[in-house]
Amino acid sequence: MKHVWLIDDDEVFVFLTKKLIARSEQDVLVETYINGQEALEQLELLAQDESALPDLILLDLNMPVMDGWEFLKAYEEIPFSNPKKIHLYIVTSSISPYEVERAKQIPSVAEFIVKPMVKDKFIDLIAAL
Amino acid sequence: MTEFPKPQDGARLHAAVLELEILNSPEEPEFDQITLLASMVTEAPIAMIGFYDRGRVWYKSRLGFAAYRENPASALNLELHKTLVLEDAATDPRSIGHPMIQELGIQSIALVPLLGPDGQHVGYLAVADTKNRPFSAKQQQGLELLVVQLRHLLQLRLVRLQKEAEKPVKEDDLKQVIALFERNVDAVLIADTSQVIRGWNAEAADLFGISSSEAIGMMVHEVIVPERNYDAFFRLQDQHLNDGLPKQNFDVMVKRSDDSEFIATLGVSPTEINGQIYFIVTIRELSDRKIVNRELEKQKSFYENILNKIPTDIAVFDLDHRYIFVNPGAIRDSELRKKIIGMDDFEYARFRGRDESIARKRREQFLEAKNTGKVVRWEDSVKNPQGQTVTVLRRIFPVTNEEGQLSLFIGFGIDITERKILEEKQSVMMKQLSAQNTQLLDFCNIVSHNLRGPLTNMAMLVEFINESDDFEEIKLLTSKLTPVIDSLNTTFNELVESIQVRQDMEIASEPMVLQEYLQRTLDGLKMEINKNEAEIIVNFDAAPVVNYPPKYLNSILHNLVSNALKYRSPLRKPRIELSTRKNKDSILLMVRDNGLGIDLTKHMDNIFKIGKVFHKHPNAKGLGLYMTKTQIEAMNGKIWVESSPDQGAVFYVVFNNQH
Repeated sequence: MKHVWLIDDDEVFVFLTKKLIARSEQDVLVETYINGQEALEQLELLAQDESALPDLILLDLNMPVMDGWEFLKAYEEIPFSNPKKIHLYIVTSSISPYEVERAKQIPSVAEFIVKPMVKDKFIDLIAAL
Repeated sequence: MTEFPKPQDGARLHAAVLELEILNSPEEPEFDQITLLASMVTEAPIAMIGFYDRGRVWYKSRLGFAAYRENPASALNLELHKTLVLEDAATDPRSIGHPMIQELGIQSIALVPLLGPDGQHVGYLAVADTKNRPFSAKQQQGLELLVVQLRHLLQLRLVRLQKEAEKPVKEDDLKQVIALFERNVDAVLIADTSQVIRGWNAEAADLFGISSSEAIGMMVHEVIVPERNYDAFFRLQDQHLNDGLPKQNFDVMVKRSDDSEFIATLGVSPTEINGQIYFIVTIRELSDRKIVNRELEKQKSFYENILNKIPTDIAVFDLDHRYIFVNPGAIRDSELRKKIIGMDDFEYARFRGRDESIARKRREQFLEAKNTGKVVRWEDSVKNPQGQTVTVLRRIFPVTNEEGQLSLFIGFGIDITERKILEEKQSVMMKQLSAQNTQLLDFCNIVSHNLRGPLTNMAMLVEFINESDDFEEIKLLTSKLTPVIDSLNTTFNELVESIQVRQDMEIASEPMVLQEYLQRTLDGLKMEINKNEAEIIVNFDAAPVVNYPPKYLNSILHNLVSNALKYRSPLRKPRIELSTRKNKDSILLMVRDNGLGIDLTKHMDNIFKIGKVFHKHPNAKGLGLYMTKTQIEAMNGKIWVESSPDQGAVFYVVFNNQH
């Protein structure tokens, strides 16, 4: 059983992604957070409890209150007991080369995925864990 | 005329010519008549009587080539034993390249040698033509007869001259002149037209170490000129003769009897004594100091010449900031340029009746340079008489002497107006480019988040619908399409509106009563206001009317009021205050709320950007403030916000051009 966190404010996208994950028939548990702030608070609580941390984070960039970039900045500073455990992917509708370049500068970002994310891609992400 | 002379010996020949006492003598009609006859006999336009003068030819009589100034002229490359005719003088090896032949365009020439009393070939009678032609035997014979007459004439002339010389009065006059100069403070020599020394005073004897008895009777150059410089000295003499024997100073290298050399100024005054020309020559040694001074003077004028031609303005100051030198680049008027020397800037400003502010500023720069010993640079911007702003880059350099002490200051000014204008243009262009770049990024943002996001969702929904067989699921998926399409529609309309703002730069302004326009906005938001029991306080008394495009004013008021309502605090009832203030050319609109506020320390840079939302609020889309800012800036206005979280916010809008 793998833990997947979706951090995205777009209700329709969250609905669709959950549906896609169900269809991929992977053994996963999905939790959603509608902005960076909520996800961050939860991560800080769980930082020392390896078993409770997610295995995969799918992070949107454009969100209210705390956007993806602000989240990443705070995320880099969390003292995880096992920092290698979490695989973090940006999943965004942005096609800005500037944002792709900016994401490359952040070590904890594994890949910059442009929406829509297809079923096969998700299966690959789970397989890579 | 077929006597064969012995090979010419320079010294003997010259002595023979000198014996004739003909060189450099004035014109005499008898000689001119012979050349005229020669010309008539041969029908040639040019005729001449020439005598050898140290390898060159001096013309006693010249017909048809007065314009040719060289006298003596260089001799032809030939030994003349008998009458010689060159029918093609321009190409004949004996005359080709000769300056006079070339310059006068002589094509043919006939020469008859003239022999002196001892058989030396002392000169010739010649005729020349500017076309190729022969000279007939009769014509040649005529020329030879004229040369016989010329010999008689020379003999008669000599006899006459000797008789004249024997007259005691003559030499007495010369002797008196010589005596006159005997006790002169300067060394003086007196020479005759043949350059033979006739007088030599005591100072000259002292200066050169040669007694008067040794010097008198010798040629001038033999006594005082180093042998290697003879040719240069003769050229000087020839030039002087050609110039018509003016009174003139010559700086020449001379030698003493012990062969030591020095530079002297020869002051030559040609003087007529009893019908004869004599040269009275004073000789002054040019001392080292004089030479140095003269060189310094030359250098000074050399550098001043350069400084005066440089378009940059240059001034040199002493330690008290007084002008030592200014070039025409600094002050064009030469009288003013002379006047300013010795003045400082304050005195000059008073002298010109000008304001002292520039002088004060310059004194500061000067003192800085003086106190620090370093270059000081600054830019002056002044209006020229045509009203254009001229920018000058000025520098003042302290200059130290060999002991390392400050000795003077050099000021430079370079006109950098054009560079300045270019820089300003560049800066404006940079700002425009940077603004355009920001807009492009903004646009990329809108496309990414506000358009591409919903479109992706739609595509995925449709894909799921296509793949599903379950009616209930299809119904659910279809219901999710509606809000996506609505949001896409809203974004699209706002985007179109924002692009229109950028395009209608010249949208018309009208006088608008603020109260009336606000009322329309409030009417539109009636539901929201009533539902939240919002309190609206309005005071537009200070400036009730603005000049603005109605469409923009509507949109600005709507966005600000609806924002204040949207981001209300859940802890208190919304209260929105709107007021205006009148400034000189502008009106300030203030919209104060008591809502959630914005954390400006986090969001200062992003507040008016597209897609930026700062609240966890379902309707936060972030395009409203971006639109408002775009419209206000299109009208050259400004918008900013003062706020902190949970303290409410005040939005300020400046409407410009309100007269």
